Amino acid sequence: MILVNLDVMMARRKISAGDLAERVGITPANLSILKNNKAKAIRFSTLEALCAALDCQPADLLQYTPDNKTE
Amino acid sequence: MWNKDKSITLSLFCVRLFAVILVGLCASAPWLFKRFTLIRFMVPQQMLSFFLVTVYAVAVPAALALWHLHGLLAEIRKNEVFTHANVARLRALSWCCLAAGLICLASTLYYMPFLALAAAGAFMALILRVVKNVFEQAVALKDENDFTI
Repeated sequence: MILVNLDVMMARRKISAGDLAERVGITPANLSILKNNKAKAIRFSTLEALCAALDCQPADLLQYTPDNKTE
Repeated sequence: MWNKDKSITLSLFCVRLFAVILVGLCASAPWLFKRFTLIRFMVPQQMLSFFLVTVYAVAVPAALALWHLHGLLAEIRKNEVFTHANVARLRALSWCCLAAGLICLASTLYYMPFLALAAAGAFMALILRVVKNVFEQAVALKDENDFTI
């Protein structure tokens, strides 16, 4: 699965959720969905805005973790 | 000017009207079918009980269908159309139609014209099943869209 490490980058940049949501142009509720890994997809435009606001690369925000499925 | 809200209000009114008609039909069924059997030159004592069993048995899925329709329209009025609850309502509506159709089919044993109602009920059940499948897909798409940030 893809994990969104948004809270890690937010802590590094010392930026609050409300500020980031305002800078990116999304609602705090949607930012919370992203932060809590509830999102099913992310638009390139949102990713671009997040990277610009946090001064980072997409790889700093997204992380791939293999699913732990028992076969 | 005609708009969506008025259309839903009209639909809700029709559902409530049908509910009143259903209650009226159930209340007057003994008298109504006695008249019917007399007009159709049937033996009232033999046929009346059969007709009453059919009417009261069909009244149950009909009432349930009206209840689900009312719930569906109330949700649509709140702009909550593509929800899992509405899919469940459509599924229940489909089963109600099928149940009414099956009761009518069983009633053809004593009165053949019920076959038309049985076919209509089964066909409605099929249409509603297709609409339910469409709704199910729409709910999945809506979920995907809602969680695309």
